[in-house]
Amino acid sequence: MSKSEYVIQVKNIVKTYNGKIVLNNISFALKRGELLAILGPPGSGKTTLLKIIAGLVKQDAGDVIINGRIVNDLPPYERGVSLVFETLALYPNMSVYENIASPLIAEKKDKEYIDKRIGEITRLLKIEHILDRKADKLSGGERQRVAIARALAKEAEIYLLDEPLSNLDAKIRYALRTEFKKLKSLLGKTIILATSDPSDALALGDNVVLLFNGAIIQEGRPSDIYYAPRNISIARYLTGNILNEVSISIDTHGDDVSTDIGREFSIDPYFLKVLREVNETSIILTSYADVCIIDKFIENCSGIKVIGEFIGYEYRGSEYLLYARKERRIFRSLRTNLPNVTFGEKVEVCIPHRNALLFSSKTGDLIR
Amino acid sequence: MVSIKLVDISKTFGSIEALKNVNLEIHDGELFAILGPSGCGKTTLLRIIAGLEKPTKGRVYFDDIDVTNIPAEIRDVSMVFQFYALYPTTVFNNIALPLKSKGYSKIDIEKRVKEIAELVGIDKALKLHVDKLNVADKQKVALARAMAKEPRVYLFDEPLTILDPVTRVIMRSELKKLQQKLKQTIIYVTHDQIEALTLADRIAVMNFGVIEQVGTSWDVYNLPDTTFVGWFLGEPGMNFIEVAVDRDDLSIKIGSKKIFRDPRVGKKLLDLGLDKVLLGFRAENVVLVREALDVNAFNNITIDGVIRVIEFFGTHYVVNIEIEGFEFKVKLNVSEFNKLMLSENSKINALVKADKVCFFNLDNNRRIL
Repeated sequence: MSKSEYVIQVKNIVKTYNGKIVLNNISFALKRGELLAILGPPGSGKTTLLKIIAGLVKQDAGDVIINGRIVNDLPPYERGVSLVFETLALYPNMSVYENIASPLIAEKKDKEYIDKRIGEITRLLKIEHILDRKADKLSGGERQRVAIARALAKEAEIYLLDEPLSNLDAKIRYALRTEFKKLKSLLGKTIILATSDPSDALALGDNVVLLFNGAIIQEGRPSDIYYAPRNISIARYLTGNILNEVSISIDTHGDDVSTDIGREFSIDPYFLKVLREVNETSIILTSYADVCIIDKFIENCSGIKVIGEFIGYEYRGSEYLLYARKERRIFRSLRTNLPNVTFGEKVEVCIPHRNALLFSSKTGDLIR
Repeated sequence: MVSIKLVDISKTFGSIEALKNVNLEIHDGELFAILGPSGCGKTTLLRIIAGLEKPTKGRVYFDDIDVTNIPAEIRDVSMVFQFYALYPTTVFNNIALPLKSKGYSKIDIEKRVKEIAELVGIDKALKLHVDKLNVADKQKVALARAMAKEPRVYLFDEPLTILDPVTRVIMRSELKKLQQKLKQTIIYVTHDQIEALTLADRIAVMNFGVIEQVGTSWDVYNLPDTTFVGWFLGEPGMNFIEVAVDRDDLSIKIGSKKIFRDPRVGKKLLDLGLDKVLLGFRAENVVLVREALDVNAFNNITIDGVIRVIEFFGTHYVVNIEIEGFEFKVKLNVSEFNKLMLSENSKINALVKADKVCFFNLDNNRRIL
């Protein structure tokens, strides 16, 4: 693909503050209409990166290239980029018009421009008939569209959104994600969205860049990152630290296998073979909750099986999240039915090898 | 032990109507949850039951005795806002204090403190200062102290929100076990639907000062009385699509598309004077298939639509499908999704079993069928 087919390229960006590296050699590129989610914990450098792209902060090294042109020396208003810091929460006492106009008024745009722009964007989002209505009188769906209209009110080719869904009620957040994704393709705009919430990044991003301590540690499609996290820290982060984990040690001959949850476990012979073949003496076996099984009895476990204590469950209407404990490990299993066990009773926990992820204990890197 | 009845309770703060004509019966010995979004009036309702707030209108009964004008301290309730509010002393003293004020003898206090501490699983820490305890144990102490008051009813206001998820699950189990042992009436206010669905014998779902529904977890999730309850519970909430009854063949249509052929349903709706209603169904109850569906089947709702948005959530996918300007969500586990190889803007057929759908009145959003 030729250079200009990318709307935006970020190349080898470096930024230091007081001798501390906050962004270390950051590179990525986006095609027109793509949504890139920059995912990382607070303090990982997401906001600084957005500010550098917008031209509000100058990088120490590297280039920002927009439509094939290096824009390092261009002021923010000449870059065709809009940086939105606000969340998608609305001002309840303002009308729809006032809400959408607020970023344009802040930019000191004249009334004629604001009217024209609001006309365009509200027509597109099918909310032109509710401009006079107060935000607190809107239905859920209308409110979401107004919020998105405001985020995208400033005309730009590339939108940079910093934590747009933070501080929102879970229900609104859920609905906004869908609406946002739908309208993104309708508007055909290129969007870079920074978030510290993995579910925002997985659900919204065409691609995800994982930023930890100022460096990109993995990038790719959401499902690729989820199913092949390069490192166990990524897997833990993506699940909000509720990954099922067992440490397994294998002696040099591969004859003796032990775990950090005691010696009472059984391993399927095929899985044992796999473990021996990976040629690591210490492995962390992990699985997501939808893969792990917790039940009173599990006849066939094609992986590792341990006996744990049933400590509780969460009923979510469509499914149950079951919890079991073995030594210091907590296991979670997402099931559609509740097994016939009471709190404190023994249960069997199975981590099937097929969808399990193996990480090196030494480096934390994904083995398989 | 006590049963509680609220009759026509209203409460206004200035011009704000916090509670509107609330009627509720809480059975003796039940763990009853009051669930709703912030600002729905659930805490005000709890405070009225406790006697900390007087209703503007209506009566409160404990075992058929009118306690509306009886002050909080005489109602014999124990209110636990957050388990954290402990006295800066030992675990023992924290539990003993309510007993002292009840005039127990020293020997009786020792005996009772031990009993209660054993019950909540804090007996090994009686001599420790509460500062030395972890969060879960601090909450156990607060619970034990509430029990030492020997109340007729426990009132909990979001007690577990500050805990980490695993401790929360364990504490829920402990609370449930304790309640089964004590057989005490517990009223539990929360905004967390998982908490309410998991813990409660019955749930009252509130919105804007009104009780939308009272029922078991299964009832409120599967048979919501109102569209609010359907939307509020579940992630995603229930799908709602406006449908019409075809007066010629009594089928159900979305726009011009016929989706349900069973004439009995169409007839029932017309008999009620409703030719337009809301169809409601849960995202996980939809099956997607590539092949054409038998639209004449009586036991299925069949919808052919276009996939607009696919969202990945790690353990599952949510597929948004559009039909005739309406949209609905379908929740698929990863293997189902992978088998179907779905892509945005492609056509797909959706099927919902007839016994998995509800119909709601368009005017008042209440369930009809």
